[in-house]
Amino acid sequence: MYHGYTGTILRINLTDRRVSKEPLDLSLAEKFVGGRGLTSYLLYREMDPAVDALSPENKLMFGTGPLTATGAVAASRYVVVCKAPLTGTIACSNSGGFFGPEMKFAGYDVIIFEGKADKPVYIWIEDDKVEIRSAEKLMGLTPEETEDAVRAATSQLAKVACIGPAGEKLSLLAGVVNDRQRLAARSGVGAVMGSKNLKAVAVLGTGSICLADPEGFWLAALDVLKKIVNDPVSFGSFRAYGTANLVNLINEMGAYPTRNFLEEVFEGAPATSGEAIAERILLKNRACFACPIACTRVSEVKDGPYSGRGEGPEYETTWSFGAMCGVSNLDAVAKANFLCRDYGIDSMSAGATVACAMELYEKGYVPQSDIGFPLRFGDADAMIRAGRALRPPRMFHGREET
Amino acid sequence: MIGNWQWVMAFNGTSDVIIIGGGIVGCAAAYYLAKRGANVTLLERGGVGSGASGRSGGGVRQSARVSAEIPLAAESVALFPTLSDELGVDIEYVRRGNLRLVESVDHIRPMQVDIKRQQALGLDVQWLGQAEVCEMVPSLQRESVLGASFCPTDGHANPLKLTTGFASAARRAGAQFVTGCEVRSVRQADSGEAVLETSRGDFRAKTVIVAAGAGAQKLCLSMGFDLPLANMRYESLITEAVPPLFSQMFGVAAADLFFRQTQHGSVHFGGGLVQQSESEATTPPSACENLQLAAEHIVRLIPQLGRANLVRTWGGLDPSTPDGIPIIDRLDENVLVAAGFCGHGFAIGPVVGRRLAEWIANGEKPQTLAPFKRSRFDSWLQTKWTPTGSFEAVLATEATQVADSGNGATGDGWRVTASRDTRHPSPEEAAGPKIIVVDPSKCTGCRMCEMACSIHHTHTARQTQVRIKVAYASDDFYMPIACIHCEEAYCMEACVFEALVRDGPNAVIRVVDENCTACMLCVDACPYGGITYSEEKDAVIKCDLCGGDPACAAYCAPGAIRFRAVAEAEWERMKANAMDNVGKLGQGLK
Repeated sequence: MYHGYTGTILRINLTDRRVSKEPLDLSLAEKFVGGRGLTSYLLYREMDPAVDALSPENKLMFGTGPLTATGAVAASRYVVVCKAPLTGTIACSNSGGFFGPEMKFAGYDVIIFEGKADKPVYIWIEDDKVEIRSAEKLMGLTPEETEDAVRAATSQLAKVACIGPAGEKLSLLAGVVNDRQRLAARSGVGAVMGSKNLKAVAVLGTGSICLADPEGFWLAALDVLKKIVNDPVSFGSFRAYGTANLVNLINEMGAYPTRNFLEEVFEGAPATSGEAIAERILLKNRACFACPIACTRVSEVKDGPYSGRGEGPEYETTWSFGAMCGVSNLDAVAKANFLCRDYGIDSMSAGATVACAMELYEKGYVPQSDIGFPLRFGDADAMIRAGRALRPPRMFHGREET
Repeated sequence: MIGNWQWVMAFNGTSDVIIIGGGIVGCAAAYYLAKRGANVTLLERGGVGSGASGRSGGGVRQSARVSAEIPLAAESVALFPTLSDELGVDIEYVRRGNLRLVESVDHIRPMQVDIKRQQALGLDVQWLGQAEVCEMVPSLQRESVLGASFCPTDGHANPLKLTTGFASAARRAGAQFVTGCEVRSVRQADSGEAVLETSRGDFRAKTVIVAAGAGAQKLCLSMGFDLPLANMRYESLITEAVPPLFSQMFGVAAADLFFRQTQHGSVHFGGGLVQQSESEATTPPSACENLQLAAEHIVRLIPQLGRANLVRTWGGLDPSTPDGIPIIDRLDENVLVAAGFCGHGFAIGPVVGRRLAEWIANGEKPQTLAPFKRSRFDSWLQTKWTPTGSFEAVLATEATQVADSGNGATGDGWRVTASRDTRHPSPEEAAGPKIIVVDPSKCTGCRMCEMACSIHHTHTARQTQVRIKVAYASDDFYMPIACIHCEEAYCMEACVFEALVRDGPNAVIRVVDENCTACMLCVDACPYGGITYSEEKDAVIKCDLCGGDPACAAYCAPGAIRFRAVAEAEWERMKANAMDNVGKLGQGLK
């Protein structure tokens, strides 16, 4: 009897389209706790570390932990583990939202993707039933469009993890996007998914997760809930200002990397802080599965050149596109965040890349003729133009640019 | 003590403004209001300047402040040179700069970074190395100091003289001062004006300013406003007059120590150290250990003081806020509050008083006061809800705290109607059947309610087979849907097998499993999506209020789900909203 775990590993070989289910070795799960522990071990055991990260030999694993989807407070995340094309070492990228719990409800602790499909595919998992379907029509779509299309073809209640156009083009900045806007962003895991010709994974689960002592578990959960709710940071400033509550805090400590790490205090921090987001663009808080804090910002820039709507920006994005680029225009930072979401790329790496280009330009290592426009620190327009330059080629083929 | 005739006059009429608290903020506000021609009364439970203001260290500095306070402090520094003339009292203002000393190598870098932050805000502040500091202040022990931040426009003044100076000037301008008058509660009369119940009878005013320092929290609580204030204790020591040693104001980077030499020659030093409860007297005994530490510290820095005699020590309480800056805001139509100055309110007190007067005169909140809004603690204060381990206890606690209406009430958050200390629902809240009240504006979509429901009913975690389900209409509208146990229940009318019955004190509609044939007529009949089919049971399932103690409400931390009785009018409004919400949710209901 498995408690907390579902007890099943789902293995999908995309090369020969073979789907198999393996029981989870509980003694192993006890040694390597949680999604990250388990999947890291599985990758270590199953894969030659020397394989090329973008080759079919690399394995892509989605993992959840024993607390995921049990209602344990804030246990909502899943991890994406593979060999990272960006760093050459093991990647462990994770994301909140509702995809991880849905995997567990469908009955899987870990999903392993192997090989490479000959044509673009997406996978539809409805409890026991696993289908590999053609994704030809999904190619080039943004993550939000992909999720809408996949849901329309499967179930409106399905949860979807997918890649954006950047992942398809094997961009090393690409992440895996779930729940429309959230990214398991780091290390280029989206490129690995793209290298397998895997556009999306849709999951719908109706199963249950057993608890050894439901009542004891729930009293413990209540205890945790109480601690979180009575903590002024987690339930206070994270709710009020999101993860970007750190902006002013870190800036005032003098530890806020500014202008590509050249400085450590950013004069525009108050204008791009969590406080400014809450005051200017925040529509509503949103929560990940079973989390009382609800730090996610649903925000909207109503008008002007940077208009857009969606989740974020989080601390890391306000840092990378704000302080790192010296840009104190919150609307522009939010816009850059929305662009990254549409491309399906990591906004941290993207912002840092733009910031690095800015420093190279300002110091004269890269001439203007190579860039096509002046790329100075603090220039919001130039930042957005540079951000758009990270756009995957042919993404907007025949379509209006966003 | 002021003659009784003054408060008798106030008693008989209504003041434009009543200020509670005769500290620097209250007296300055009284002065500037009276100067504008307002009819002002100030009520003080002790004497003018008997609280934190009279006990203050006297620093008038802009440097080493939180960014939000710097504009106010700069304004204050511009105002101070004019005050002696304006008030007709020598306030002993000296503008010779503020030095914030660094004593350890670990603090050099953070200090330099902090200087950069302040410079970015336009403040004239700079880093001085050891040699420069010791050249500027030869009495400093060279070995004890590694450097300092220096802001040349900072200085210090005599806090008691300034506070009483404002009070005298306010009286001259027509303000009435009633001292020895403790305000016990403030309420709103039907006529719209505020009625203050005090130890010296009732007072009435159109506007009340609460500037009561350590007493502010209790007073605001009596009005139903909970401010996150914790009283901190500050110690002061003063030496006999010694020859001139230095003229600057001093602070220390990583310790809470200040010092300055007064015009008279005494060296006044001390700092803030121990948290005290509000109930303690305003003149608590000094904590010997703290005094000892402060004395040893200053002698390390200024060895010459080792030979000076201490002539007096005193302590004082000043409330602190969680983020270290005050709350200066409007609480309701009648009441403004300025409290929580965290031990550094003296310098900005005159400007806060002036801005409060301007606010009352113009009716518009001055821009410089914008960062000090109370609402920055809203979500934090809502969290005072404390689950205690069992559903009953949770509900008993929250019933006293949640008084907002079912729908759309987010704006004024945490206004408390019943006493916070009471653990039992007040009679009118307990009356009548209780229902699950959902406030969509508070729902964050986390689905904790589904988990609570699932574990309570099935002892496993799952997202189907639940009796409450979060429906998502759009990116920003989602809410839990559960049976609302309508009095005119379509489901019961639809059921021909008597599988739905109503019983219990809360008039719950529940399923009799044996009678249910899973014909689904009730599922179709319910307009709210409150009934679900369970394959496992081969029967319908629906909310049964967990037998009168719903798990979903107990686990909803954001407060979107509450279990309580509702008044008739609210019930009607809720039903209308329910249909509206169902319309909005559309296919999300599936």
